[in-house]
Amino acid sequence: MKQTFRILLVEDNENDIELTLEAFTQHGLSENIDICRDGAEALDYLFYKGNFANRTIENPILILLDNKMPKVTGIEVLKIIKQDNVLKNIPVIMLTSSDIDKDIIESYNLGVNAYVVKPVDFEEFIEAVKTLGLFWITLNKVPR
Amino acid sequence: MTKHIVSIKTKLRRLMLLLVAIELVISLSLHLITDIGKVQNRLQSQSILYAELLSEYCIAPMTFNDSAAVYDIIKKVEVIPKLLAVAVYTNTEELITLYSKDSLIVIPRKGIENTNNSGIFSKYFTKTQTIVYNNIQLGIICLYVSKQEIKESIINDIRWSFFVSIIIAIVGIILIEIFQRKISNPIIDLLETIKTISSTKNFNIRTQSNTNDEIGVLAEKFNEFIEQIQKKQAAEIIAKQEIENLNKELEERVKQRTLQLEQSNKDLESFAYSVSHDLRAPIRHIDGFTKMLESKLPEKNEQIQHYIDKIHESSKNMQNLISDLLSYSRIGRQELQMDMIHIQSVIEEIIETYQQDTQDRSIEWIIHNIPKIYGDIRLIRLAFENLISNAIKYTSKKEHAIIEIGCNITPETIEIFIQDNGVGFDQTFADKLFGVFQRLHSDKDFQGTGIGLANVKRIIQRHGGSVRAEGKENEGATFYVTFPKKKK
Repeated sequence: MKQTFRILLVEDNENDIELTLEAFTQHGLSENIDICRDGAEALDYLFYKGNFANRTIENPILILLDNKMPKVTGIEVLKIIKQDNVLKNIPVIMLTSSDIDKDIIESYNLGVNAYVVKPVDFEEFIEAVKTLGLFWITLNKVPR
Repeated sequence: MTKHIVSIKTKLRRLMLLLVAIELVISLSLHLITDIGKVQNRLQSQSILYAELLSEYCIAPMTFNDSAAVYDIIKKVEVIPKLLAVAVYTNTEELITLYSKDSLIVIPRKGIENTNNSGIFSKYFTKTQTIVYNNIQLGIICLYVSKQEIKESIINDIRWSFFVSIIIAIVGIILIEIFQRKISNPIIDLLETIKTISSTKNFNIRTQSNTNDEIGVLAEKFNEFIEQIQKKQAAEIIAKQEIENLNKELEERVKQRTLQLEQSNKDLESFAYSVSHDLRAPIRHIDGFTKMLESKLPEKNEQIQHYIDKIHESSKNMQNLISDLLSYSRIGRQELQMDMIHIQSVIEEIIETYQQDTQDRSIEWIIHNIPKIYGDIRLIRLAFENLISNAIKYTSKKEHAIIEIGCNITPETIEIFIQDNGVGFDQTFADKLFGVFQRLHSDKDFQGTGIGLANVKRIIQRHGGSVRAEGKENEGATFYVTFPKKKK
């Protein structure tokens, strides 16, 4: 597997970041993860603004979005990504603990590629991350 | 039905005519009785006078047996109209001579006709008188006296009576006409007023009758009565208005309360929701970090492993609780998608899903025919999953479990029951079964969060139905869910 591609993880909770990273580590992907700690930072990252004005690394091939975040929520970030001509082709996965119907419906309406409720059981969570990686990074094809 | 109406006027006229007729009969009778008597007496005395005079005149000719002279004497009666005939007889009642103006009168030759008291309808009566001179009877004279005078008197009486009666009748009818107007006009006015009020419901109308008799009193009382009705009606309208206002106010209040309730319900739901979600993250973290801790343990330590297992177990329980709480909250908010459900096959499908978990147990299923019900299949499935898994769970300590599912149908409802021979419960606590987080068994005996039956109740109630349970400790439990039949 190429080591150059990036996966963007947008997550405000440190514990979740640590656990998610652990899951990716178990699948040997920890080096490919970029982390943004809220929606605003994610937008800076994606649109080369603020701290990321001079980002040299290429756009991520997968974006994992938490929803409930300070400043800008995951759904708001999703909306902006899907309205952008360049970014809209990047698969976006809502990775969140919320399974409110309203959020799920809204996410799909905005063009989310997958909606995953984080399993409480850690082993199941690791399994889920593995499945996600396998599908979206290895199997799924996106327009170049 | 319409009654044949005879006006007061007609009735009065009839009465008047009856009175006139009675008057006619009475006055005529009285007149006749008195007049006939009078005329008869007069005739009698006159005829006696004539008889005596004639007998006096006849003495001389009779003494000389000169019948021609006798005839000359009696012929003189021709100028007296009421004397129709005169006959003279011997003492032995043999006719000597006669004079008659009326050939229709038959005068006997022998024997004297004595009709002094003949009936009123006979043409004449007779009057006899002896012809006596110096106490010697010379013969008998018989006068035929006409009753014409009596007849004329009767006819006169009848004429007069009729004449008087007709005058009385005419005067009476005129008087009745006047009185009738005085009597029946106020009644007609009253009647017209009543008719108008009855048809228009206008209680402002009053009758104008103000006579000084019973009808006047009636009219006055009627006006008072209508006035009372009018007042009552006005009061009723005011009362109705007040009730309407109160109703409107009440409706408004109910609306506001409903809005408030809906809002607080919504608040509660969103609170439960967000709490549930915010609680999930820490549990996930606890579970995750415990797993990581476990993997970093340098060596196997039973004590540590026991604690770690406990932490996993607890976080698992907490997660179940939150999931159930979420499902409970969702059931309350979810829009119902109603359709006819083949509930029997739903039940059979649910039982099928538990086959794997219960293959090492002895469970006897008795499923009766159940008709289709009207409901939201997602929620109904959830409810029956709960009920069936409960039946499986609470019979787990039985060597041979029997679970029976059937229904009772009434004209309005379909009641489905799920009966088991499991651990049962104390009927005293039956009402606690369906409460949120209410449990009748310890977690050690039977695992559970205490949400399942609360969900069942909520689902069935949202379908307009009801739930109840019957049970006996160690003998089993029966759960009844009742659905209203779909209205056609």
